[in-house]
Amino acid sequence: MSRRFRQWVNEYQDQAWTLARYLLKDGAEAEDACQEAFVKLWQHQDSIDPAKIKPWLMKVTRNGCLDRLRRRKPNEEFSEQMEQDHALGPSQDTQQRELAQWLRRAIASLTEPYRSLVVLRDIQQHSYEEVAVVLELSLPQVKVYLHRARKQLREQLAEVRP
Amino acid sequence: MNGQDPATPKDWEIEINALLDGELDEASARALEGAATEDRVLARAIVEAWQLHQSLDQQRPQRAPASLRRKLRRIPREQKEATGRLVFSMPRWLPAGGLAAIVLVAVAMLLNEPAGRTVISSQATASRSASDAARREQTRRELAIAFYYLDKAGLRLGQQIHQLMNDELSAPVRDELSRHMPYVGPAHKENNA
Repeated sequence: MSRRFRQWVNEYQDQAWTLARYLLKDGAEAEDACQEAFVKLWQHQDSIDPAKIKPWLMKVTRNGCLDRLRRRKPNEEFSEQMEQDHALGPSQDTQQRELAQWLRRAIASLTEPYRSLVVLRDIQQHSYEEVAVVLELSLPQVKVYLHRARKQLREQLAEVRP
Repeated sequence: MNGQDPATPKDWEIEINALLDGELDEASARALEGAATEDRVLARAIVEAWQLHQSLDQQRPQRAPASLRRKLRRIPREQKEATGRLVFSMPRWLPAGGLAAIVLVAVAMLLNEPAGRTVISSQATASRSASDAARREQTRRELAIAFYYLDKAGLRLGQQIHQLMNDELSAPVRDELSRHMPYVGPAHKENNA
């Protein structure tokens, strides 16, 4: 049981972390949210279809993050810390670095469920079906909302690009 | 996107996204391409969508920090320890004692009549019914079961009875017990001592 769980941790910890990080924009809270999600996974592992572990975990992680966001005071802002945490490697040139930073800011500025959609589908490459399960949306809804999210990002991108 | 194009901008948006997702069939792709050659706005929209797609592709999932990795690795051990502590912290006699207590309370309730008089007092009357006798026999059996569990669990009988029932209830139980059960085991003896 522990071995199987360790395998899930190795496979999904980065994805859960990325999602929590984008949603919460705060490293410490994102860590707590991830840890809680994995504890729940440990506690419910026998009742979850092994083929659906990833969407289950992402869903629990996201729901935990949304709960935390709801408990936050309205004026709390964490985006600055996110910028620092997302520092890129030295190999990336300045233009790429700036674009990547801008993109992260733009994604972080999206409202839900657009932000989760972009993270799950475009960054983590989950299938549409998995995204639908995680966000509890229908497949057509996922596609329509994703179109809107991408369009918003594209319009923002057009503004900053020469 | 021009006036001659039957598709609305929203329709093209769907086509563009399908193209990025690799889900656009060949005929639709050709139609989109044809429209884009005549519509600079549409062409630009496709290029920007592609650039965004490329940029998002480069946003790999971030590596979880070492502190989180350590916490996640510790979950199995911590959860097992937590479960162990829960079981350990529960007195070993509690499950059996709890069962016995339930039986004792049920018996005590049976022994009490609605007006507050006990079965013991009604036993002294001559008009005792056959059903009362059957009930006493049932009581005796249930008490035997209860004390069996109490003995098995090593429960300190008197202490537990006082905790679970008041004196008014426990006295009839003891009296009834001594009346019907000449020997009920070590737990009872311990209580009497």
